[in-house]
Amino acid sequence: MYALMSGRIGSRWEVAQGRDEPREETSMQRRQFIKSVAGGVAATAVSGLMGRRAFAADKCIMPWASDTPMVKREAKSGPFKIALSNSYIGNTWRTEMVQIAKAYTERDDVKPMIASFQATSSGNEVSAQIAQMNQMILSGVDAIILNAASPTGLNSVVDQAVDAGILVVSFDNVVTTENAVLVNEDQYSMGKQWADFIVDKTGGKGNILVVRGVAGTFVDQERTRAANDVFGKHPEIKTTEIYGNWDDGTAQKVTANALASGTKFDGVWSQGGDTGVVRAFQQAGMDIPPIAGEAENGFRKLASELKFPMLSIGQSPALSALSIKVALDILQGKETPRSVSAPLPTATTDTLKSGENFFPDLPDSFFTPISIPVCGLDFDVNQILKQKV
Amino acid sequence: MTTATLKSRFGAFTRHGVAVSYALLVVLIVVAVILNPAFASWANVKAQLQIATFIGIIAIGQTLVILTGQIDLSVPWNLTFSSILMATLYGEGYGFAVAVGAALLVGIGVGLVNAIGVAVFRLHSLVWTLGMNALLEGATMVYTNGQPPDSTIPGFVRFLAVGNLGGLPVAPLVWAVLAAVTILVLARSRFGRFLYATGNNEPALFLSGVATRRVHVGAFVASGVCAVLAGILLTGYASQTYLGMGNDYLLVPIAAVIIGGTNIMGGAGGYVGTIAGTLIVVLLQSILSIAQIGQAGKNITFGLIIIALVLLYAREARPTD
Repeated sequence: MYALMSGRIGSRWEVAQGRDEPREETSMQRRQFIKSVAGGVAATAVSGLMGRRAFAADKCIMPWASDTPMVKREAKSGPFKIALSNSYIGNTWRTEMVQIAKAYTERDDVKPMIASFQATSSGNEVSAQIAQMNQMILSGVDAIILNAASPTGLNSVVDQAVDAGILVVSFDNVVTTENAVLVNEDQYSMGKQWADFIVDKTGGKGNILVVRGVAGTFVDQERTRAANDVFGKHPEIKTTEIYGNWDDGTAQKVTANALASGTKFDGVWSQGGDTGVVRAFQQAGMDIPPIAGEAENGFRKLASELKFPMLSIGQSPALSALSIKVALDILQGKETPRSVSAPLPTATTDTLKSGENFFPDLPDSFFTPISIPVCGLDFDVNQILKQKV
Repeated sequence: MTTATLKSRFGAFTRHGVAVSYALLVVLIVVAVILNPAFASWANVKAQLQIATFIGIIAIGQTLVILTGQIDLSVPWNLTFSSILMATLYGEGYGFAVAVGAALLVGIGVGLVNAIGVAVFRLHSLVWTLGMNALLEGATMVYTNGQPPDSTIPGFVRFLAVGNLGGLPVAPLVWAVLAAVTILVLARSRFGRFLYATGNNEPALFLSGVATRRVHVGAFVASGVCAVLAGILLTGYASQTYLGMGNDYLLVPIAAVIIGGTNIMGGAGGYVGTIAGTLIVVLLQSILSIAQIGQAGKNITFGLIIIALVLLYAREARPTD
């Protein structure tokens, strides 16, 4: 379903920083970071909002690693022309991402900063997206928010945009050029939290079904690498890997297949298509084991109904709004990490709340983490759905 | 090309393609049972047939279209659009007949437009149906604004997709009925013979007074309707409709047709082989999963089998005179 949604983190930092290391270093980074950000915020002097912003920033705009460089531009005064360049649009995640971006730019506290906002989707053709970005460069926008069709194919046009004085913030499927500012969730950390949950719930032994995503993608590799690192430490855990392509229908079929082959599974680590995974267990008439998975509405609806132990963490479609927020900060001269690690929106069976982190009246394929509260990005679901794509 | 060579090509393809694909199927079943004896369990056989049903039904349409020397690339979004339309209408209280009827009309309409492009404008279906697919994707986005409704699925659709009838799963029974009709039509009807003849030599068929346009209409409409039927079953199976639900159903059914011994250039083959092709595709996925072979290994195995079979069929089909 959202085969094309997911992110890819720029290879440069990820190699340099050794992301397997525990997150302890983060608190240290954070302190250093707060210091530097505090300076930047004071300089921008956004009267009234300043205190709240500084508070929000320390948990929201986190540098990817301790050695992530900071970027700072000469402060400009708004309002700004912002453009969103998206590639593929044919799935729910991408649709919500665009809708949230539009809703954010219309918010009362953001609207005065926006001279114009336009979102366009080019499809997965790299050349089409290059043409689209060229149009944006020609029309003289201040910032381009980019969900890229290719990690490397758009580097040259991003460089051109930056040469023309345009700020480029790349999120979700990010580009590798050093000229872009990156905003994404840490996929390794997500995969690790899922695996820790399963180890915790199974006591570190038993058969674990590992439902992978789309083979060959960066996100699938990072999340699975984390799972293998965790499960590898528990010799009594035996994993069975299948590929669900992040698609409910496919995940349901391959899970049904795995269940029919006779193995009894004590836990499921699934990185997408989780609604289908649960339905496969239901259909086989089996008890549903602890499942750690993504953040589809159907998955959370079923967890709320059937009460199986669930951990749900997902790539938030509000990454688009966070990217616009980061762009506005930088345009106004605020010092910001060049690579931002966005918070991971998490829910468990116990923390599920109807209308807040899951929505009984919305389709199963809806992506629930539409808000990033620590960033002040809270969205009302009806407001988002009203937006035209 | 003489009638004699035509006949021998036709015969060779049908006989050897079908024999080879069924032999391969038997080998796969044996390998699967050796790898995991539970594979022969009734629960597993049911699960495999259930999964094969979606591919098998779409492959009916693709077999007919490929026999005429064309291809239908509009399946993914035809399936998605019609399923979402059905679920939406039913959710709005229009009733089962209207909802399913509207979905079937979409399939017929898509088939007609595909046929017009091929038979009237004489465009190659590769381009025309691909355009149709993109058009339907856009239409779906406009219709849903990116969010298909939270739909209640008609009970009868659930029954067709996951129900049991006297201990037998219903979906594979539906497939069996459709398959029997297809095989009969291909073997016994004039339309069936015209499909082969169109793929072999359309100008000759036209000159002998057959309305070849109608043959294309028949093939593409059948394909459109098959995509809709598979979509309806898939909706019942997943208990939901969603954007991109048809994405997996473009190339796999075509692979099933080719593995089953139908000539991609048209004119030879048939649905008996496609049934074996469908089961091979499904079993292969399943076996490679059980054996814990990674996705790369699966792709390589799949590619090798298709290449090997196509080479083999091409050799068999070489005219002897």
